[in-house]
Amino acid sequence: MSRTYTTRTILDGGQVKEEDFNSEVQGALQEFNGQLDGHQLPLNSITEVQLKQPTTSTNWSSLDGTYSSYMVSQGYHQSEFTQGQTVVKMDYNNQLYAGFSWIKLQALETQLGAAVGGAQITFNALEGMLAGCAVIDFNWFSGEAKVTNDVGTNYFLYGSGQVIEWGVFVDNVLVSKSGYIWPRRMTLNLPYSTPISSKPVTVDIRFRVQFLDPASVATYSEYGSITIEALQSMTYKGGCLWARNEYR
Amino acid sequence: MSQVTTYIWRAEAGATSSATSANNIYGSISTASTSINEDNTRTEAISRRHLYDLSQSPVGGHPTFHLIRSKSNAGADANYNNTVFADIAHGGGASEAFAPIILKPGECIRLQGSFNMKSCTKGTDGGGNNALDTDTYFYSFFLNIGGVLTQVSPSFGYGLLANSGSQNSSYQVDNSSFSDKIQGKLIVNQREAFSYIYFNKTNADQIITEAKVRFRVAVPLGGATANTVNLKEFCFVILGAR
Repeated sequence: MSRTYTTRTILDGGQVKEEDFNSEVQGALQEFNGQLDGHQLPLNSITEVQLKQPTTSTNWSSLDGTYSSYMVSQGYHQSEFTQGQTVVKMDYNNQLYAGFSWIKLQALETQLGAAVGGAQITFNALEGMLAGCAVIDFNWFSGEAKVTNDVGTNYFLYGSGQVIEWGVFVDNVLVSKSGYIWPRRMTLNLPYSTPISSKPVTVDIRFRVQFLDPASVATYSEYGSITIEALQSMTYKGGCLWARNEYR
Repeated sequence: MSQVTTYIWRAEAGATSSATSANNIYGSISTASTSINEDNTRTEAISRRHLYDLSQSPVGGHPTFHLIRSKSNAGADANYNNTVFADIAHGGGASEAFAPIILKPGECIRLQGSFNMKSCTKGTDGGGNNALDTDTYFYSFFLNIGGVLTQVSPSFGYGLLANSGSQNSSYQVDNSSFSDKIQGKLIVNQREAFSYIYFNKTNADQIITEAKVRFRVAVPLGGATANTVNLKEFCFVILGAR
């Protein structure tokens, strides 16, 4: 309850009904006994200088590079990746590729033995909202092929019509996706927002791609003899994944 | 004591009222008022006594950090062809200086940038190499930490070509792409956005005085010269969190 105030005035010599007295007294007593709210707090009683410092955690750092900061009213969690010596790249022949279906970026990093990071975050969420962003620097490469016939030699990007799509999953539920992106190098800023309950949670980045079977491309023989000079590929160049958990 | 637990006297219809019974309630409040304690606070409520008063710490040791800054530009443009990260200077510059803030361990700064890459002038081919062999360009966030301008985020890369990364000039003339705006075989005039969170992951306070977005183009292969990218409108936002 908030402040109580007089609702029933008792006059000298007047008749008093029991609720006239009881409700007035109960109101004052409840307030005194602790049923208080923001109205009873002095203005600016609590400011930022009273808020406790964040507690940091790297419990899942070795798994996916998560760095967590649990703050008073919110938590921030982040993982990042900067391209190192191991190139995070996949093409048609990669075992993770099984048609146009979601592939975990974390699985690709692990498969290649690259340093993990930027692909997944794991942390203890508190009930409230989860809002964040996946920042993905990637090159969706079209692949290159050469056609030789009696006219001469020509070159073409055999996968120029094929797409990639990126998504963010919270505990295996898709919460944000990019839509189709045609071949190019770019940094994608993919925001997401979702309610969350109190539990350990995993947020991860996945992608799905349309790789053309090189063997089938080489059968476009009506144009001449086709040689694939470079396979279509997806290269993850770096980025970060972060989440803000605003507590309820 | 603090709460009044013996106050129950309920006026009842038809009963003779007693001044003593009624007044006792107020007497009990008067008595309890002298010993107000946590019982007078709703259990789930927060009050100053639940908190550590950091203002009592030595001067400068308490957190003063809560920050929102933004910088935007709507019209000016400029060309950039540095191959190492350099300031974005047009339209007031994509940098923001502020009174020193103390970033304590575990606190973070959120950085967000959005730029319009307006156009590109291809560099000069030469030495058997093409300027577009390295067609990429990069943005990155920098913070001035303890007086040292430091790159804090990864480089966020973009390509001018649909087949970025190809080093065969025969393929670089192919401008096929179904979704992007291609002008002169280059993907230009597009809005680019990126974000990053910088944590103080050290065990010591950090003094932050400036935040920037910086820009560079890829280093050309031998004989060729760097591409020149024209940047126009931008928005740069810096948020502190704790």
